[in-house]
Amino acid sequence: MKSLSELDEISINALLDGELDGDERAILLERLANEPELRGAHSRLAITRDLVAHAWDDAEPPYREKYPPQRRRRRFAVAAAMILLMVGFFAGRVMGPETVVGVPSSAETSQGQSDQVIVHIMDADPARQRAALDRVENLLAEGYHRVELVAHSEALDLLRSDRSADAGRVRELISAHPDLRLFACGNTIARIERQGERVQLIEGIVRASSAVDHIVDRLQNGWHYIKA
Amino acid sequence: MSVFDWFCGARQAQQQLAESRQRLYRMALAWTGDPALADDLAQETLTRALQKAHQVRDPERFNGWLFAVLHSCWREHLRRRRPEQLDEEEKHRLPAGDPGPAQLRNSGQISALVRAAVADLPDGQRQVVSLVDLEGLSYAEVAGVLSVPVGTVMSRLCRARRALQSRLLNLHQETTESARLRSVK
Repeated sequence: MKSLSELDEISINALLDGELDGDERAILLERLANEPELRGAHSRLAITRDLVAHAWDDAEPPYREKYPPQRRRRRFAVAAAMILLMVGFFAGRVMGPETVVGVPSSAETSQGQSDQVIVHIMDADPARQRAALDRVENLLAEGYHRVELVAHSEALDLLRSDRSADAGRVRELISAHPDLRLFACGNTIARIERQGERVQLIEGIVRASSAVDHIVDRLQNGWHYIKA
Repeated sequence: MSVFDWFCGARQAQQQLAESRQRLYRMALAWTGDPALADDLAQETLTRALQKAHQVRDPERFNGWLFAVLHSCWREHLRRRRPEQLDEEEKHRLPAGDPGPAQLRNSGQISALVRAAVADLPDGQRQVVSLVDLEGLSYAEVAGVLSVPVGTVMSRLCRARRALQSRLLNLHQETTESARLRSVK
């Protein structure tokens, strides 16, 4: 691995941290597109930054009486969700190919790398859920042969027949793309059902035992990972 | 700035403070590696900050100000502690040494690995990398929190990430190799 000048390293860090102005950013992005060494350094620094950013997600200050039990449970659930996110993200960074924009390019596919992509969504925001569906559609349109969407935590609603704001679009996607697989996290479903609520999935949705296990298995088999 | 704006700013700062305990705790834990000390520092920071919240007139500067208070508490702690306390506190630090690649599927092990790597950085680098990566503070804000020039922030961050990268990414390669070997068996 060729070593980079400190100035280049500082520039890449500044890019990652949103510290470059428009012109500086454009120049560096152009260099990233043309210089594989620089691109590799960018990916490695991005991984490092992301690992540090999530390493304390589960760190909770010691319990103090002012927090009622119900609130503590919610805080624990949020921490657990963050750990889950970190595992998925970590695995994606480690085992998936790295690009500047986080999306596999057609060039990579033509070089014989995997054309199998797993898209991961855990956000409750319907706009982000729709963006995930857009991403899936775009990947299919670009010719990726195997595309999967995995929803867990608050994003599960997207795949529920009783709660999805985009149930019609999900059904259309399933019927139009026989190779597309959409997975609902079994752990999330079990958690909801333990609270007395019945979960009805849209027809054609597959229940995975656990979103994280499913994602890690896919990554170990060379799939690309995208967090929507 | 009108009296109304000033009042609203101070009130908003009070409200932000109430929600800041966990963030302060995480930052203090990243700096000290000791959960009990981190909680003490977070509490001390909150206490001081609540007394001085009226000084924050611009809510956008709240984060930088809050972590500057934490930094001040941490520096005071370092000045106060006796030599024998140094050994005692070292015992509470997060475990040194990396977990093996086989354990890395477990998110707790990943966190432990990263935390141990950050704990081994020099103080200045550890503070910069945690303020930027955990809290997303800008370089200028970090410079303000630590009272150092922005150039120092950039060079410390560069050295910190280089050190972390070399330690963490080697393990990533082992992890990938290990996964490949498992699938071949």
